[in-house]
Amino acid sequence: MTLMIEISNLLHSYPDGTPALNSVNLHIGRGEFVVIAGRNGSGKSSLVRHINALLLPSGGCVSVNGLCTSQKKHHPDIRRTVGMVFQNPDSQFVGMTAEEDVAFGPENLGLPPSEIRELVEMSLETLGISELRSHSPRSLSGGQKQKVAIAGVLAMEPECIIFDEVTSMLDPFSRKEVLDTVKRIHAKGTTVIYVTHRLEEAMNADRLVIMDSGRVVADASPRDVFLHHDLEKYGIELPPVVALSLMLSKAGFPDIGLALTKDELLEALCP
Amino acid sequence: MNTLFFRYVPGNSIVHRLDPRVKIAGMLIASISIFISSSLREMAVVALVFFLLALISSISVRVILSAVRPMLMFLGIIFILQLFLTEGNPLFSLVGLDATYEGLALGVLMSMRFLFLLMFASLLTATTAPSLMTTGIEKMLRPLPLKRLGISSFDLATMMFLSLHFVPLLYGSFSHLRDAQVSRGLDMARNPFKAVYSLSVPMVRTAFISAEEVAVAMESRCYQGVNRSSLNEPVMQKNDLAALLVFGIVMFLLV
Amino acid sequence: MSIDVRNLTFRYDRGTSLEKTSLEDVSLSIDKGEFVLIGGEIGSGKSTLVRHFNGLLKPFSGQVTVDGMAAHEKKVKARVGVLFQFPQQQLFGRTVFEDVAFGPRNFGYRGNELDLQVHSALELLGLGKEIYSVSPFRLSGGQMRLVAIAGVLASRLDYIVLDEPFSGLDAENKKILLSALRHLNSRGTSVIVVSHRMSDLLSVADRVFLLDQGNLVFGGTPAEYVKHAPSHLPEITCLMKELRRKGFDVRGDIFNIDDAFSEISRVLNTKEAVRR
Repeated sequence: MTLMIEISNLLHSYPDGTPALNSVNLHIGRGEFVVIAGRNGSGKSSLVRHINALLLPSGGCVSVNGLCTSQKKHHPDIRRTVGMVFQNPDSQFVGMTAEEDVAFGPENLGLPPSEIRELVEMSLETLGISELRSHSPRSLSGGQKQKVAIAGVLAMEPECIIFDEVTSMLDPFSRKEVLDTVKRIHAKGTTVIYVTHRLEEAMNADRLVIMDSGRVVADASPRDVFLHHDLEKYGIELPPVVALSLMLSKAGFPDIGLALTKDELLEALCP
Repeated sequence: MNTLFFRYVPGNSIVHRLDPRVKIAGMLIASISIFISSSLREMAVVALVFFLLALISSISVRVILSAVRPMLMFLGIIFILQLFLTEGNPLFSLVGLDATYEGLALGVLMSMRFLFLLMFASLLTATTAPSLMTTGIEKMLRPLPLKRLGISSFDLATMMFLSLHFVPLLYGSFSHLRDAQVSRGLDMARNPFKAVYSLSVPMVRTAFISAEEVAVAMESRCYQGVNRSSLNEPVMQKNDLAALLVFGIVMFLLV
Repeated sequence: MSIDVRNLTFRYDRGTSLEKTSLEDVSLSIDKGEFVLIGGEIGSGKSTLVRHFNGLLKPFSGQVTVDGMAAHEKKVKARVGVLFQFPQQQLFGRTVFEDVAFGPRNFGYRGNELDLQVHSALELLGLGKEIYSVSPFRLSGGQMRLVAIAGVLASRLDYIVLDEPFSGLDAENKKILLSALRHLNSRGTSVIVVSHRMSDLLSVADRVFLLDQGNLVFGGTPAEYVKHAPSHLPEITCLMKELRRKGFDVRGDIFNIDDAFSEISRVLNTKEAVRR
């Protein structure tokens, strides 16, 4: 796997001097699906903001495809390569209709109207929201809003998309829809960095990175993280099924073992 | 909840379909005629033209009123100041101040001017999609030598667009906050000072936070304030120009 | 003593092309001292419904009464406290103490009584004395949320409504808030939580209501809910139901991990005993 994002010894301090990130090292390869989790204030959002140069290192280095974020001239390229979808869809809209909002990125690249139109159509279609094109984004449901926001990033054809707690304001149905969309985008070859504090959403990830107090405290496959780390110590709730399977296997039913999903637990209980 | 305040109300009328530049120019013409009109008769013409346009664009009265309502107090103050501070034939007197006939006429005229200015503006925003408005403004500004001032027509247009964008957003947070503080027992009528304080502090904070969030989101989508293009490039048609011409002639001849 | 909603219908942006119905003929009643969960997706009308409980919105048709009074009467505000989503936005006081005292002061509390109520609300939410004189804007996001919640609890109202109080809170703060709500409820306060995450609260609620596109589609106890509700079942409940379907003899009306654990252990133990 080719290396895409390289973070080494990254330091970041808030303006008042308190450290937000403390010597973080993280390498992400092209096409990976990496979930970053941690409690509120663990530094996960700060970390990903470094990846598309919205924050710049106080120390250490972040590079995307070999381009270092500390050089300002690289920012347009880096942001074209790495797109970002934010937690609150309402605060990221800059268009009055869905298609205008999706067009915002390509417009910034100065593309001709016909090409913008094509990109907009392509992204709306990929997300299955073509019929929402002339709706005001703010009149949509939470899940639809996030889809518009994702389409807006997709229209710039990035190689990597960061999803920063995009489901935290959604209800279960929309959450599943958005999560499925993320999986679909990943399956098409896009590198996905997915920030969440809900580990249920991490089961399909190649890697689960746990952050606490500005440091990476675990970085392995979801299965290994659940087996070898006490996540409650980091203020993270285990998904109910995982917690239940661990309780059972620790309480005298070792054959059950760790189940990541409901189906795995069903399989273990009724083989 | 006043969710209609200067909001775009989608529709398919002739007014909706006009080129945004025509409507912006029309708005400028309307404002000039409103300010040079010096009699109630001329004001009546302005009113007639306005209601005709409102009728054609089938914008509901509620939408227009929603733009006017928050400014009523301001209009009232203008009216009262004119009524009492204009010299002329006394009409009646109150706590040592004389209201005059001339004051009454001037007061009505002045408050009508602001009223129609607001109403024309709300007609413009109600019938023009904000993105078209921005593109229109940007295109109208492009020939100006703004570069010498260190800004681009794109920056200016984006700023205007974002201000338009922010009005409903801020209005939304305002009603959210008002609901929250009223639920904590705030009595706006009995304690206006406390109301202003308990609403303005979080309001300013929210405004700053949302501005920051939008800025970050825009930056991450490569916004740089340089040569942008646009999905919807308005194309000026012959009948757009004709409409503008007719409107201009009507306004200037009648007023 | 109850909040009574009779045939409530409400529409936003009435009379324009933007008009939409957000509540359609909803009737329900919430008794004093109950712990009630109102669920449903975002946009299902939950927030519109609770804005009627303290008169912030007036019904388009139908009526809402609180302890027999029309909900838009002023006196009602001193009985029903509503905490909206993202309550950290409403903070404005110079200090945490001042902010929390805003509500109770508006309801006429002064002096020692005021101090006592502010302190006990903050204490209940696990916020220590060291932050009382700090500006609320210097706290972390989670703490700001708790301070805002304390601001509603400190008024000692009969009914407390919280709109999505858990969204975005991490596990620790969630626990603190939940135990605070249970404590208040045990002292007789009605607690009404609006949330699209039903699973967190099914084990504490007395009754559950579910809204869907402005219609009330379910009202009953949590046990009835997991048996009959059309949607929004917790994952554990789904697991238990599927186990039953596969012939695994566990109860299907279970919604928390501890009960699921004891049910499954019981069945596994019996199986093992049989095998021996």
